Amino acid sequence: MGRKLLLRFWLQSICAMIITSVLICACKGPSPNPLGENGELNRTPVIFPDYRGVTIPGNIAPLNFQIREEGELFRVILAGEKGKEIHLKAKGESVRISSKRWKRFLSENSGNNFEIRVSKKDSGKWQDFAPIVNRIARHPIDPVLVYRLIPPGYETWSSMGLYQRNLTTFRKKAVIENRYAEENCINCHAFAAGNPDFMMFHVRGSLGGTLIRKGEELKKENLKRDETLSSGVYPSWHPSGEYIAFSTNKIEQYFHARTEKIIEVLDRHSDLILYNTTTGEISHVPGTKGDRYMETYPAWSPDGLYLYFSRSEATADTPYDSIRYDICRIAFDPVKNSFGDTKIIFKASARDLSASMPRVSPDGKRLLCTVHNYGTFPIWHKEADLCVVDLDSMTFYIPEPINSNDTDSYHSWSANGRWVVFSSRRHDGRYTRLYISYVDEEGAFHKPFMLPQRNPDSNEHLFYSYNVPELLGGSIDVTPRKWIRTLRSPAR
Amino acid sequence: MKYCAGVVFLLSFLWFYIPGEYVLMANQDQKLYFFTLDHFLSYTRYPGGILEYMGHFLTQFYRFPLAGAMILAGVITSIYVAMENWTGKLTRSRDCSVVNLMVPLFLIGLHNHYPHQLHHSLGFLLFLVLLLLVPQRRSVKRMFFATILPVFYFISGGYVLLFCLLILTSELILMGTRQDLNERTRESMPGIEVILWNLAYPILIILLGAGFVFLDPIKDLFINPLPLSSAYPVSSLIYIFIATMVLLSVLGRSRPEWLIPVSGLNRKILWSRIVPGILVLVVTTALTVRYTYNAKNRDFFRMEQMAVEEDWEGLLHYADRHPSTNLFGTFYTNLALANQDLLCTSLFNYPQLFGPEGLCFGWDAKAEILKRGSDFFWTVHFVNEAQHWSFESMVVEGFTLRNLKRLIQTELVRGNYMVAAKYIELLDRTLFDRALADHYRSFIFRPERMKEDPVLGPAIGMQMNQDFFSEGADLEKNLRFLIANDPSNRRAYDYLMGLLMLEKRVDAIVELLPGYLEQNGGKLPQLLEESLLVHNLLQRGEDIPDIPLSRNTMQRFTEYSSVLRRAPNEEEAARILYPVYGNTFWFHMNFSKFSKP
Repeated sequence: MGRKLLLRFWLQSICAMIITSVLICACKGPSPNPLGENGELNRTPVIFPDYRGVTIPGNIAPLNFQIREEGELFRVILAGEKGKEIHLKAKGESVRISSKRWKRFLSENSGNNFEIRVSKKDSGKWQDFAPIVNRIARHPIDPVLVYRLIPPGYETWSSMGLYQRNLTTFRKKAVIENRYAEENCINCHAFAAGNPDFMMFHVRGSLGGTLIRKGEELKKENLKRDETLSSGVYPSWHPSGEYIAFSTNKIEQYFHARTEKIIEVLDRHSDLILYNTTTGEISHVPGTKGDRYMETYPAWSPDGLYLYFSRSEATADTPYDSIRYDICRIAFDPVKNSFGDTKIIFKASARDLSASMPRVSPDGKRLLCTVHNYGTFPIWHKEADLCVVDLDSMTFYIPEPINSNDTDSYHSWSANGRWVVFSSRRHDGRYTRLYISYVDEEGAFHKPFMLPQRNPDSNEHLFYSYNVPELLGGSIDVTPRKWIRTLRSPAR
Repeated sequence: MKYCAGVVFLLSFLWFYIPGEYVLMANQDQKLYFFTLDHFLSYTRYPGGILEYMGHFLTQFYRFPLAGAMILAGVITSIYVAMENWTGKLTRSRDCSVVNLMVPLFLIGLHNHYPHQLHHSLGFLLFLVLLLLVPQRRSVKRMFFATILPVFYFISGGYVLLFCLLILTSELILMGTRQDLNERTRESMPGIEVILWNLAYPILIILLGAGFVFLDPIKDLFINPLPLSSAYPVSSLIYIFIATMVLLSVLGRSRPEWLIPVSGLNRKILWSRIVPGILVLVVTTALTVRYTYNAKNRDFFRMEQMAVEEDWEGLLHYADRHPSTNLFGTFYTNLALANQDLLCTSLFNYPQLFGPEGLCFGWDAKAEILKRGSDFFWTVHFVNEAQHWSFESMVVEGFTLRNLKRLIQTELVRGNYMVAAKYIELLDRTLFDRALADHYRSFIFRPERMKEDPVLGPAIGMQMNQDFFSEGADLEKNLRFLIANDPSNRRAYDYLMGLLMLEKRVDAIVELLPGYLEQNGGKLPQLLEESLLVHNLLQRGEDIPDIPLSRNTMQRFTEYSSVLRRAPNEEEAARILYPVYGNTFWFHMNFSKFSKP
């Protein structure tokens, strides 16, 4: 009996010691507190994409990022003025935020600032970077972004596609990919006032034509007429959906010898035409036919009462680096289908600049365009910048926060006029990426941020350029199969 | 059978290691293989993609001739063994048959036609292996077809139709043969069921795929990746090969003795079947080699290999023994001459049948033009155009080692380090080119280091102060612009002189001579001296530049013109003059005519 008791005592003691040891080991003492108790670094961390000092919409997908700093381990805290903090660890370099927690965080802190606090462990010591301060705007961004992905090539093309991306998630779906369309070139997609029920894009190649969706109707048209220079090129839907304005262009391409430039794309002739989506009739926009001017990049005002466009007095003999475009507009009566007089809105040429791609804000107060030294194809101009024209005072300025030392070009307004998505080559000078900038009530542009991706460095490994970003109020519900079936039918 | 297989392997290996090595060279850089999940997933989006992936994976070993020959021989031998096993299953014999040797023979012929890719043959192998796995019993067979055919279609695309064709053939023959009734009942399906499983069912799978899963055109869904599509250049041998496999199946079922098995021999069988069979095989071999093996292809791809490796001396030695009459071969020969500073000395040592097109062909958006054109522009240090052509090559055919290297080089020279780093990172994802990635990475943000590099240094050192637009079709304009920007661009000078010599424009040559001599240390290459002499003669003493001609050149011209005057006609003159003066400018001036490429 005694022996049994002794054995039981020893067994219990050993178990207690083991349990106690485990508990002691598990309690490591206070975790390194990255907020102030560690060494401090007097700068914010370098992260990619650069989500430092940006304003984001309250419905955007998580801003996953990479920490581009030396360190053994990283800890990240997202802290808002309200609600719970989000604590994260970097897996390798990447910091990925759970969508569910992110959504809650955004909604709890809408209209407020939030901090990204990064700490790093180096040689056994924790150090805190200065916190990154960002803001969550009250205004949401349109939920869908449509763009083309294409290798930034010159004369040839191979695989490309139109895609729609849900901006509140990372979900991306193909609208149509050209590998199913005999590798034809798919280009120049456009929508009426951000409505996916009214959309079009061109197809160039063996299945050539223009695909137009108007509500439930899907058709393929041939827009070339005897009296037009070409088939319709750059499009703009009238907000009513009844008309599409196109440019018609004779385009030429030249390749530079000096290494800082690559290619020059010019028009030698261009006009504007109007296509009636119901009757199929095509007519020239008054005053644009012929060689007196070259007109291109039509863009309707949100109320449909004006057609804006770029216009140049250059002729076919004008040296390429002297071709400069101004922004004009012509009044339009959608009831009578008649145009008024043309007026110059922004005389860029007087300032030795050329202006392309005019787009009026939804409130009609300002016009965003791209300015560059000359010509009409800004994506190949490093100096290309976004420029704002105040339509009340007719003054212009180049907003510094939104522009970079490299190409900043094609842009699209959100429906509420608070966000602009645009193309930029600021990252590496070649592959176009998309950036989103907040426009506040005063009309000031805020520092843009790169389109978020699930894998934050996916853009580094992508050998395609994003092209013609367009914000939409909803997703395109036509399946790729339907598009392809229409595409393979003959054009009307 | 293993001895037969051993012989087939050995002969195939030797064929592709020695005379057929060009097949490996032609296909080793069709498309860069990346060892990443994304790369694999890109092949899963269409039927037959997995098969292509397997082919691309194995093809990357072609860069090692021994491995490449072994892989090719291994695949061919495996197909042969599978065919033997299949006919063996039909004939219930384990003997190797003489007639089955047609299969590896035709496969070698198919691969000699270099657009035939490894994955095309892997498809044959896969469906033959599947044939062997078809169960005997009828009920199990149905389950097998029902489950395996859709999977096989996804893996190998149109090869499912070949599989079904052979099954259909052998099943229908089985129904018609006089075999044991019990055995027939156990194995064979009713005719209508055979047709349903092997004709209607695969077509249904493809149509359902077309309707609900895949977006590719219906024709592609039926044919790809069989070597029957429009992307595969026409070759009747592929139809012969497929017909042979069908025929062997038919014979296996109905006339097994016609397959000429080699064991159980007696003198009568030997002389009545084996020897004639071997004779037929020998004749077929001769015809296959005759009609599929192209020595010009061999020469061309060997020259191209040397050009890619920048073994210019080796290329010229090879061209000495195998002068090229092919446009691309001429192009490479001239490229080698330029890189060895011999263009104005030895241009006419080699056939120049295509005139200026043999120096650099005009722009054409085809993969075979784009990747080669980039080499010319790199040679004359026209970096932007070299980048332009190699980028377009990448757009058209995807990343290859060749265009990726050129893209990295041009972006490094242009100072676009971020873009160069992006391309270099692709090399990190390959199996065999990581050292190359490290090499190029060492130049990022280090222009001084680049200046010392023998490949990048000359390009980065070339001045381009005055911008101009590249004249895609006008070689002369481009070269003149390059020289105007930097007269020290010796390569551009040599090419311009070469162009003018080919066009017989002696006045234009002489105009450029003072500048050329200044850059060439006062030395006048032989051919330019000969051109100068012609110019001086044509000028009859007026406007003659003050550039002395050597006594040797004068003497040789005296002899040349003497023979020319004495010859009864032009043809006879060319015949007499060619052995001694065929490599002179004078001979070219008098007798050369250009072919259309």
